[in-house]
Amino acid sequence: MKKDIFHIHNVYDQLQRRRMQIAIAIVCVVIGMLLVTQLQVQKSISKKLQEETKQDLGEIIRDLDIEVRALQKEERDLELRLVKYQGTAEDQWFILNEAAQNLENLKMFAGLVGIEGEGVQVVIGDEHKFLDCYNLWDIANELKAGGAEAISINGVRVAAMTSFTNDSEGRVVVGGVKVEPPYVIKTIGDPKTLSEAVGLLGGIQYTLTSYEGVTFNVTEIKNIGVPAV
Amino acid sequence: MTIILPLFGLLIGIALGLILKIPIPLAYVKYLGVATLAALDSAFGGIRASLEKEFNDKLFISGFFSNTILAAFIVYIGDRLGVEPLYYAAIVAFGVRLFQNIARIRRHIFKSRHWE
Repeated sequence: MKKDIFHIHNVYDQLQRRRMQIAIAIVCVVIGMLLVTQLQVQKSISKKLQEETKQDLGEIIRDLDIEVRALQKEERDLELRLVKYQGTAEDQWFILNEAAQNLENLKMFAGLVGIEGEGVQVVIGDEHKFLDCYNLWDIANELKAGGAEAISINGVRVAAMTSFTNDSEGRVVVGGVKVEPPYVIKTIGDPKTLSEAVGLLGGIQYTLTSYEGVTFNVTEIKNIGVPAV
Repeated sequence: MTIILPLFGLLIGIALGLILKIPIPLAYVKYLGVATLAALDSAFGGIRASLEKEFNDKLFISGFFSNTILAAFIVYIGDRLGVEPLYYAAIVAFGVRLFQNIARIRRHIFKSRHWE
């Protein structure tokens, strides 16, 4: 009797155990599915989050915007500098031009270049060879005072260092070259001023023409050429 | 021996999940997570009950499904009511029960092996 009870109990126990196992197994199947699905979804979500959170994208866009703005500002600055440099270059070109002009003027003044332009031609006749180098020198100085840019006497350029001398025979030597009357003095400058300077009352013409045989002939010429030294 | 069938079931479940790759909309991920937690809690509760010789298969199965669905439902209600922290309530409740069940299982194993 006792044995039977034990037997029944054992059978019941085994049955119970089998049912329990099956139940847990079924539950486990569902749990396995749930777990795997959840893990996979979670993985894909975190991946997506890593890739593109709205906020992150916004931040990236903001950063890029700032960078773009900085680059645009730099571009503007560079353009400004370019304009400045171009201006400077132009200024420098202007200065250079001016310097070249100056040089040209100085060359003209020094008689290093031949010039052509408006001017006056003074032809001085001297039948008796009365005039000496000082007279010619006076004439040259008078013309210079009258604003002459360039002067030549019988084709000899009169510059700052040109000498006026008399040789032993009483002839005038200008810049080492003997000159004979009639003296042809070519001058470049404002013709009116120059002719006035020469023909001034009590001036050089007035003084010199008082001598016998000395004649002055002043003509204003549109285009007159003065050679270089 | 008692562990083989449940383990086999778990493996089948994992295989099924991997093969089917059930697509879950992003909005429902939260529900699935809490449901999974509830399911785990139920499973460990079942194991504990069997160790304490209190196991009832009908109770177990019904508890498993009702707990799982209830967990998801609680989260849903929280969302609907604008009380999203209710989600944490579910997580805490099932988490605590999970720990308790595991602790009791451990104690039973210790007792049965006379390790105490």
